[in-house]
Amino acid sequence: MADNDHPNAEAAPKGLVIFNGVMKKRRALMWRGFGFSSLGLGWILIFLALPCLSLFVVSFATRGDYGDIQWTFTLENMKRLLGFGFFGWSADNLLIFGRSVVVGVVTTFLCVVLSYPLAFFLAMRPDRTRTLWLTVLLIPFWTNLVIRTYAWLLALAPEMPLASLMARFEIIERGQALYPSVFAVYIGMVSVFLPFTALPLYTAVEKLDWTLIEAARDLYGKGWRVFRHAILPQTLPGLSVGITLTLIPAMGMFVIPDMLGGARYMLIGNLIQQQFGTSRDWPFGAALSLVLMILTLAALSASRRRHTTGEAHR
Amino acid sequence: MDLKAFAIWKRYGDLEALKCVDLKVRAGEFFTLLGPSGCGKTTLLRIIAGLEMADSGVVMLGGKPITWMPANERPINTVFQSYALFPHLTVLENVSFGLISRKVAKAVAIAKAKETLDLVQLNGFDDRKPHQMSGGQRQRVALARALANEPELLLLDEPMSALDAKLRIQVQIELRQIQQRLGKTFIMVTHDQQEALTVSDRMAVMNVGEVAQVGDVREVYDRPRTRFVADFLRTENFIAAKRTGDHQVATEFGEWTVPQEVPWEEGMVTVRPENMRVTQSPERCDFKAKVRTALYRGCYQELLLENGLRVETESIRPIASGEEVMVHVPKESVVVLHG
Repeated sequence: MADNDHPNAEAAPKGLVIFNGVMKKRRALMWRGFGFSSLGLGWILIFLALPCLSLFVVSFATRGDYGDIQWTFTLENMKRLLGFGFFGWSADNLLIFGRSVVVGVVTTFLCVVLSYPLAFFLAMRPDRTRTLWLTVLLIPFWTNLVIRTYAWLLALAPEMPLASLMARFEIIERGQALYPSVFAVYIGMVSVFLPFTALPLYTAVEKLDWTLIEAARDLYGKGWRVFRHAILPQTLPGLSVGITLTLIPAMGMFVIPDMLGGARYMLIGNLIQQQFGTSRDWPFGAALSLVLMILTLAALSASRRRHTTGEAHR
Repeated sequence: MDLKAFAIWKRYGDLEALKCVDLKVRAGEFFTLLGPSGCGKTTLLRIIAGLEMADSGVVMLGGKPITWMPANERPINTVFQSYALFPHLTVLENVSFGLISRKVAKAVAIAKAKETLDLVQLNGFDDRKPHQMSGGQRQRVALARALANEPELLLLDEPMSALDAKLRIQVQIELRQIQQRLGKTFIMVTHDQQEALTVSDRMAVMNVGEVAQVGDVREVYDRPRTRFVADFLRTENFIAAKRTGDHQVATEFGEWTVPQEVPWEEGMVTVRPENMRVTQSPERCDFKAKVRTALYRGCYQELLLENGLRVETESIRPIASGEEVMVHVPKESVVVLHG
């Protein structure tokens, strides 16, 4: 409540405040405020705070013999996270975390690089065809993710045009598929997440003030300098929404690395899915999820900071 | 440097923005493109700036063709109508932008930027952002940003349209002084005839994609060639006339001897309202007319006569609506229109 900032707040007797020109009891006003915000608070409590809290609590529990949760609290899961397992220490988990961050960041970067031309292309279509192009961009959304990934499996299969082309240039052997590979994972990831980056960017590009670009060119600006000073500052809001929408799910993605990356290209998402699925080790899965959340928040705040400092000094 | 444009055509779909426009701007002069909105003056300016490419025609700067040269290679800078300052850069960074783009050493660029800010009387604002400044100050930053590059040719696209009337007059004077001090070629676009007359040496009046008349501002103002130009420069009084001799026309107000040769059998002559006089002596009277409406304008009064003409006269003796006045038309101020 901002009643204290109100110029009349001092003039009112103790315990009373003037609100909308009416004298009110401070406590009554407070309850009214809670009443108004209760819906939102309840929403956040049920769908955000409680799940996070239970995740946190479960991550310290132990797995029962039959995959059930036993409420004996230990730090065992945290140790396992860092790689201390039955057979001594291994770097596997840390490697998986690192790989997840790299995949998330690189996917986001690729999406951003591809989204700029795409956003400009969309924004420059005449009204009539623009809707058509937007629909084309959104059609994959109507298909299940697994099916879309299967489509990539087909497209990257041996003797398909793409693989044949690669074989012709002797990048791969004839009769070999393009998956499982890092390349296939990135193709899959970018194709899934491109709209998440491109659409917010498109809305920013659509509102672009082109005279700033003209001014930059008029003042002998070329290429990067025009982008840096005339386009980037104007599209930054759309860009940061796009990065957020891409980075968060990209770091937790498990379907695509599973299908296109093969068993050896494991990401934290796969590991979590394993714990809640085949391994039936919910406490360890919860601990992994916690790590993922922390990693995501860290990556996000890092990208935010980079933008704001980039903004502060040209 | 002097600028020449030959046979410039520009089409936007079905719209012909420029139809075979020729333009010659002399080195060191303040030239204005004047015209109503949609006449193609801004398009022509953008073609000169290189922000737009002509469909055909040639643009030459200082004798060298620059028709296909991109904007960022032309030694030409523009003051945009909306100023187009970079909002995330400070005033100093904005003004030194062009120099830094051209890889001038940073210290040199900043010194030059400061010097230019002095020229537009805007020192002490170096670290401000554009949004922290008033409209007039932003306009100065825009001017400084263009001038800091020492362009061979400076283009101004309706530079004063966002300023209030009082500030506009002050900026007009300053702009004129800066241009004369630097001796550079300036080309300005405006729809305000007063502004064009105040600041420029020569001007071109444009009409739907064509140049209607080019010349010294006085010459264009005093001797408009066509009805469009005369109308745009607010001549107001158009009188039908028949040719009776080389310098003789017959109008409904009598036989007049005009200063120019009459090229047609039947046509139009025009007289500016401020050139007509209300007279007391019957021998100087060209016609008598009843005043339909008399408007008091402070330093003059405006009479709308029943015969459709408009007279501006001194306001010492008040003239009432309905009064009959004798009007004298000095023959040297009659302009013969060519079309």
